Amino acid sequence: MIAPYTWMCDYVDMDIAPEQLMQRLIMTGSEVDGYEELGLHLKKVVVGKILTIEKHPDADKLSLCSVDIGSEVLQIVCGASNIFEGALVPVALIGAKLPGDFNIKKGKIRGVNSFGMLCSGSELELTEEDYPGADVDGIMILDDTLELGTSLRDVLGLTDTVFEIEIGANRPDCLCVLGVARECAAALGKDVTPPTVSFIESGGNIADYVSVAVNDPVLCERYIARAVKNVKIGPSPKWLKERLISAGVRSINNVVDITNFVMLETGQPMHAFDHSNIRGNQIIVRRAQNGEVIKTLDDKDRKLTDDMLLICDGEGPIAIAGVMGAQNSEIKDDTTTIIFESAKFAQGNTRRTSRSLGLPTESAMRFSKGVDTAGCKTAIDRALHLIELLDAGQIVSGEIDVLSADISPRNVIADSDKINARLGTDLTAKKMAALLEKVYIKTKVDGNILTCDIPSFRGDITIGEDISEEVARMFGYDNIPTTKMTGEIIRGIVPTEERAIDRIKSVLVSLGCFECVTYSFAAKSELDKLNLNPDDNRRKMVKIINPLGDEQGYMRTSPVPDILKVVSNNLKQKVVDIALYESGRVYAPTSGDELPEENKYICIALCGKQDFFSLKGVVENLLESFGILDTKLTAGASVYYHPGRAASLHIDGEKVGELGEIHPDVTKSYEIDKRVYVAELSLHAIIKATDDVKRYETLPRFPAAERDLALTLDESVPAGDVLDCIKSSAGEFFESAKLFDVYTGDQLGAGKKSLAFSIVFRAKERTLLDEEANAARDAVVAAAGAAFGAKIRD
Amino acid sequence: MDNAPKLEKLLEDALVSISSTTGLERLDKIRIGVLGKKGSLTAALRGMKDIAPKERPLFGKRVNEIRDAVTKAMDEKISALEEVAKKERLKQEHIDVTLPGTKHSIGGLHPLTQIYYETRDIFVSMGFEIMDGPEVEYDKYNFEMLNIPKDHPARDMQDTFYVTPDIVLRTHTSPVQIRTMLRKEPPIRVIAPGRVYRSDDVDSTHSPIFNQIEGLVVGKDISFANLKDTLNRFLKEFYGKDTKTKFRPGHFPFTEPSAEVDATCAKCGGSGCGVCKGTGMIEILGCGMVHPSVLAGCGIDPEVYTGFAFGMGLDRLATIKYGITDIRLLFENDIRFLSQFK
Repeated sequence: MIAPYTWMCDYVDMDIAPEQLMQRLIMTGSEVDGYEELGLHLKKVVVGKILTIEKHPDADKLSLCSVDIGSEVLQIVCGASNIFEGALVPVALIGAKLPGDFNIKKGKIRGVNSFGMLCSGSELELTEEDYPGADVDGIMILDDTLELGTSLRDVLGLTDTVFEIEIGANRPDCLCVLGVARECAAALGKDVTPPTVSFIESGGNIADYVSVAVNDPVLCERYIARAVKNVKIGPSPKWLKERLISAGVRSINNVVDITNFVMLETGQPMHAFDHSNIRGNQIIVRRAQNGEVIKTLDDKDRKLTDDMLLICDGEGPIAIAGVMGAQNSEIKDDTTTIIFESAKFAQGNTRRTSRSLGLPTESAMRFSKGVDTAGCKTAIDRALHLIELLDAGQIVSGEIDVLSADISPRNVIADSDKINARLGTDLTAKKMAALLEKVYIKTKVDGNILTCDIPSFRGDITIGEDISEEVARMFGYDNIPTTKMTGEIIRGIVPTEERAIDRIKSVLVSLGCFECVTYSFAAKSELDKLNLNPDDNRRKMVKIINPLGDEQGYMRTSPVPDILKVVSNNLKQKVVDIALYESGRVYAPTSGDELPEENKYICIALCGKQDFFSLKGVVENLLESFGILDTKLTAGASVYYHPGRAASLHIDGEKVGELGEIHPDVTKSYEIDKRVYVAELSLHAIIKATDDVKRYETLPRFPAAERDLALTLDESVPAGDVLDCIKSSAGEFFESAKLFDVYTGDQLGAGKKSLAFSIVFRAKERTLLDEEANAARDAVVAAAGAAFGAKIRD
Repeated sequence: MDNAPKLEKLLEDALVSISSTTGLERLDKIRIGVLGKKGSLTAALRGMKDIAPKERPLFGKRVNEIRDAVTKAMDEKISALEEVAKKERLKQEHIDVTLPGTKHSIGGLHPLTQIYYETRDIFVSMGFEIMDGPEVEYDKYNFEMLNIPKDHPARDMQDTFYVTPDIVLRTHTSPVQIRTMLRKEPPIRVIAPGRVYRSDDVDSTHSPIFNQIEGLVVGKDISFANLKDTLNRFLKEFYGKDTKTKFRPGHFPFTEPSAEVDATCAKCGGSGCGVCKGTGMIEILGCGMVHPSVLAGCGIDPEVYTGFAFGMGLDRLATIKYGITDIRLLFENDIRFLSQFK
């Protein structure tokens, strides 16, 4: 919302610096973004008359002009070709600051002194809309009736300081200059002088001009129509044009300007129809029929649906209610009789219509946020007052007012004790009433009961708590004390799941990984890059109806594409040795109206000096930190992994994740030319398997017997299986077994390998005998021989 | 008494050679030469049979004295030589301590996580419990039960991603308030961190995905003054004890009264800079007293209980605290960026 300062001064007698006013408004609840002195860059640009033009002695394309700026005649060098003697032009004087930080200084151009600059429209950032002729290629030629030396700010009406204010959804009453002025008055403790709405009717009868039927009173609770005859369409007076310009609205003609002015002033959108185009002298407010078409003022055919509200005449639509008028009934230069409309259209419905037609007009915006039903009358009276003031026509006697809403005065009862309890204040009921008066809420006090008479424009105030806010903002949030919460002491809690995530993050960081955070959107094409099978569950994605783009059309079902993108981007930045993880969510659709499943995962990626076993080590370290020691890896994982270098991870027989080297086809799709190792783990599974019970076991008192054992067997036998075999066959004295060497070589023969284990045996209550350790070792050898055909290596 | 002077000479020679020795090996040879089986003292002892029996005890005693003296001299010499050798070794073992250390590579937490930990620690210490909620959320929880019905203008400002007409990507963490109140009886004191979504195009200050922390307190006699106190404490903990705060009226459909809170600009400390646009203060969070119809909608009697709620952007806290000028950096995960926050 743009609120020009001088305009507001029409209603509030104030004299305050813009900065101070802004601060006062902010502290009483207006969200002021800032203020701007209009036409600041035109400050030292004035109207000048070119008296003579001579050739520049040293430059063919330059001219030497003598320019009269009223107070003196200046010599100015100019390069434009459209200038002529006698022309009035904008002259930027020395010291002027033109747009683009272009400062005008005294200077010599090709050896000749120049005391300013003649300006083009574009140099002043002006267009045809601001001033006719501004778009001309060359110097802007001004109206020759202007007084020499007049500032261009005055010429263009850019003299006010305007405030830019965000209006919250609860305060549609501030979507007008008068509304903001009311807030200024409240903030400064001043009174408001409402705009004059008086006028004299000139006879005739509105009924002879038009009739109004509202077929849908739910969508239109009020419709007021008034007629003006003997209309003289013409330009608006300077003051009116300036008001509109200061609010950023273009002047069109007196009648249209009046409707715009009243809307900007009171917040009530107005419409004016050319009476001669209202067929059958009838106005009918009804819903559109599906497929009905209307050509709007912007010269576009709009196809309508039956939830949209129309203003129609005897034959068809003449406006989309509250959104935009139709071309067929617009005000033209030869319009002689007009019908003013001031109405209240339903908020939600106008909002939907405006959105679905893509017509976010000023009018639609105001109806969508809610206008004051009682204010329709004030607004139309104000328009008629202005017709009279501008001598733009004669007001036909009588008014049609189709009103179905209750607009009788409304009270809200509040309790000063409750307000004090809510705010933590200690104000008397009387003091509260005085604060409420400032915001036009007349309040009767009876003990602690406040009976508040709510102004019609404050539809947002309906309950006692709303009253508490008005009291609070007028009392000043700064003045409300700060009080420590009392009551029982509550223990702060970080839930188990979050503590698990904390631990994961801290372990992975200590293992060298950086945490990354990526978007949870995904494109379907990412899954193609992973070469996922058509029936892979991860192809079932949660679709966003209105995404920002195809790339972000779905919620991700796999963390892998995002982490590969991060790896790829880092490689492009020449980062070597990449270790990353993300703790995030994937989203799986469910049937029907249920919310999708959000599954939390940990995804780790390594690239650089690392290999599969570095990754496996990280995963094992991570799981060990949760007391999860009993895991099983089986070869093979999703299709986007290397077929020979990937595994599935199982805990207690349940698959909880995958890890491995990414398939070269996939890394290529992500423009990665190095090997990348990725692990995906389910957070839920880690939490489920966590064994955090710490227990003490007696430290060994007797020595261990260690036996090294090198077994030769087929290369295809997984070492993990051999270890399992050792554990199960090593007998009661077995303590631990560790693989310490893998060897393949000619001596062993083709297809063979040797695995060297170090096995520790120990008896708890005595020193183990050599024979016992040897027997255990022999048992292992026998078992490995039976299971894998393993032989002891010589 | 032929043997006596010989004995004394032996002692004298032994002591001289011990004292003049500079190596442990040589010393060992001397020991063997004097005290060994074939050593001179042993030989002298063997010569006792040639001595008159009455002189033998005296002679024997002297031999023992000499053995003790030589042994003692020997031990002292060994200690002295070892000391020299140790000193020499320590001298030899000098290293350049300014050479780089052998490091294990350590990663780092994402700045958003670090900021979250900081805020979480403060609120947990104030007795808040952490709550979690889904990111894909019912429209009902994200909007309707927060006083934002279908046609409410506030929906325009929160451009929403829809999954179905009734399911959205949550536009704020506030639906966790609803979920909490539906599940828990007052007193309630929770914070809810999480990802939120708005259909904003990406630029240096906007991202369609960002992170918020929501706070909710419900109990008897909870007031706006409590809200001010709680948030003042948080902001002073988070930004430093000299931090000043400014509560100004604001509007949220689900709180009444509502406020926006500014805090002293962390960049310039209040003197005015580019980050705070010269004002010295930065908008940090939104808050207010929970609207009675929100409480009632969750089955909490607003005549008995009151509450306050607040919400803030973690990304914003992070960019301000670390002086990050472009929010996109938070999601690019350039390791050179991430390692600045180790």
